[in-house]
Amino acid sequence: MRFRGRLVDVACIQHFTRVVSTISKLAKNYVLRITPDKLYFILNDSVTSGGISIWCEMIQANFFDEYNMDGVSAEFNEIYLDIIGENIMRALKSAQSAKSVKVKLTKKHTPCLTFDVQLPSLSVSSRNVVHDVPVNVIARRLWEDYQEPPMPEFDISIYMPPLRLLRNVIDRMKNLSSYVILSGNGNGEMNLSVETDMVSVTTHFRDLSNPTWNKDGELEESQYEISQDGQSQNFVSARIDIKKFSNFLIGQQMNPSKVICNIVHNKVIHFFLIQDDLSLQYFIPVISL
Amino acid sequence: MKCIIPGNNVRVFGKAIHCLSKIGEDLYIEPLENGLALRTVNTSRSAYACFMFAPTFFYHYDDGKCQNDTQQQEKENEDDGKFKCKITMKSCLSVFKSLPTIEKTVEKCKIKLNFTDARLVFTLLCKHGITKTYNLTFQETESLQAVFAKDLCPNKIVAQSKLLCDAVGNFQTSQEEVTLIVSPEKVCLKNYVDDEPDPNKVMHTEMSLLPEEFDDYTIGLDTEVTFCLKELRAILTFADACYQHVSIFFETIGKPIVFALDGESVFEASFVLATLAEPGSTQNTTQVQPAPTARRTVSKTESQKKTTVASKKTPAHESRSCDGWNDRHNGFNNTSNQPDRPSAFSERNSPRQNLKMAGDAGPSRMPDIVARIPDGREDDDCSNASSESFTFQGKIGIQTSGNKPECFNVQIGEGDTSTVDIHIPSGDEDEFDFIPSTPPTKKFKSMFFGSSQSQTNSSQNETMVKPTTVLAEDTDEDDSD
Repeated sequence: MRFRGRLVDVACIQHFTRVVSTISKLAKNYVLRITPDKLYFILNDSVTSGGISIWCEMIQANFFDEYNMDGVSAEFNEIYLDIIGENIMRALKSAQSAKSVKVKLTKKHTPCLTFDVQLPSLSVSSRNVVHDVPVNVIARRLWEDYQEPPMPEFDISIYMPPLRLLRNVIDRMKNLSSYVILSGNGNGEMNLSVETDMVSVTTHFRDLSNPTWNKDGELEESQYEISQDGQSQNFVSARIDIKKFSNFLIGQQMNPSKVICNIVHNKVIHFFLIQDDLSLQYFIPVISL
Repeated sequence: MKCIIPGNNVRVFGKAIHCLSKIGEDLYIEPLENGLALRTVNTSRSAYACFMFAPTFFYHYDDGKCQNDTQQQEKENEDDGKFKCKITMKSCLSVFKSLPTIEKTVEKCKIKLNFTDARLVFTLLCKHGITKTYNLTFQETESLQAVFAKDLCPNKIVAQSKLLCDAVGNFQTSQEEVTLIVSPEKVCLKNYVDDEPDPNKVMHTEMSLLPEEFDDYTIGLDTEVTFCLKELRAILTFADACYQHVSIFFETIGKPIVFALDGESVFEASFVLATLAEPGSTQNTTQVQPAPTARRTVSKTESQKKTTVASKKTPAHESRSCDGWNDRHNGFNNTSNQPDRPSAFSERNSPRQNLKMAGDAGPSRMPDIVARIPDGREDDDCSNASSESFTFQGKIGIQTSGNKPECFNVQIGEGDTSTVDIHIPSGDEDEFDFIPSTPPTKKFKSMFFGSSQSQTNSSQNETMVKPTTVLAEDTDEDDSD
């Protein structure tokens, strides 16, 4: 098992940092899956601890200048590591102005993901910071716990308004209630509402669009046609923990080009962030009354 | 005593107060002939800070000598009639709370002793004729003095504060201690990882720098020292704000590390931090039975772990002096006969002496450090009954002096098992000779040469014990006789 990658460009380092930071704000520890072409950040929370799932995938070639890996075996050429987000963030924090960052899997006192950061210095040679982040290597037999969650059979799929706008709304709503009801219809309308004994507040968003998905669950580019069914006016809603939603809005730093919200009525909300060839899926389960 | 700080220096003064406030809870103020000294020590007494503002720093500086006549009578016991006091850091911080505002508005700051009302008066003369007056209560006190000899340290590094800030910035804020490893070829800064929680689950960070980056780099002794990051951060915050170069003096494991700032001759600052007596080949572990639980709680509140306190503060001075202290009792009284070490304050020998004698002299003679510094009294206690030793926040420095000059830092760790690490500082290694069966006479060594020393001799021996591991039981009582 071997892994070694090198980030050179400042933009790449920062982009990588933003992705990791986004994930780290959503989950304390998560799984890093390393394959020859892609890196994945995966969280698969059990229902008892909130039932959140995250699936983020990125193409390594867009980040790494050098990238070598050998998986567990030729047949299963992958590595699964359990990592603590905070540690990785700390390691990357000192890499913000770095000349280059080497990331490698090492065996020190324990299996570690080592970040070897070359920093500019006052003299010719560079400063060198090494962070050894302890990781757990996940055994082959447990891999199946970390497979991509299936695309839910959603009732409604809708493009979200700008996340920054949503964030302001949710920030206010957070003071009123611990739950928010997110609802949408096939007519490009989305509502956010909180309800308490004293007050009920709803924010309406209009003129959004509904993406179309083909039968394989692939997104089709012809986005501007409104969904077919005659039920498109009916709202489908889901009640979720407002804190989790707010964390998601605050924490995300990826500047996605598209954010899709898929709602399975009274079951789950599935956020789908797409930015070039980077994608993040985030599942928040419904909390029923 | 009266001094007036000009507007452009108030900022520096305020920053100094902020820096001190991050280290200690009391501010010791002492007007001296050569300037105003502001000092503090942290509660576990593993860190000491001193700012010395030269008279040129002020518009007007009067150390209050002329008032001595009246004061002298009131304080017969004082060696000189000079005014010294301590105020709580909080009260002083309230004067300089918002530095940006102070920078913008204050034109002058006047510090004056109001002797009749027993108040230390800080007056901020601001723009538009606004005057803010703070009457702070104070306590008279003995001078606070750490004895250290930075000039004798074989290792000296001078660096720009920015470099050190960058280096420290790589460590997480919750990191408590760092280890500095030096060799002529390179400098390494590592986070210190304690035994718990599991070191395998903790992130290890190591930064290496080349000597070229430093303004001065003299390494006479390859070594590694571990010290608290919190105080270092406070120092660097100050240094960075004032564009200071930081000089670092240190010797070796278990000996104090000194950070010095030199503010273009208008002020200077020294910080003495204890370094950890690392468990290692030179150390042995024993256990002190009574302390464990209580001590652990205390030291947790203290956020600092096993930094050896005392030894650290005075080591250079003491470890050498102990050679001459074959008879421990003489040792105390002979302090003044020792060759004076060029310490930062070497010319001021008297406080040191006073402190050293404190134990002998008893409370009437030396009430100050002993009675007023909470820890001081506790040192006293712990010398009498080791069961009290936990009050010392898990840190005890003990130095022995016997026929064979040997030095130990006894350090009480915070771990589940209360361990006492006996460390023989390698500085004296040539003379080191350890005979397990004959524990040498010991002297409790406190940073301030507090009270404890005389009584300590007998009772501390016990804690010392032998180089072998003694499990728990009553080491103290057994060995004491």
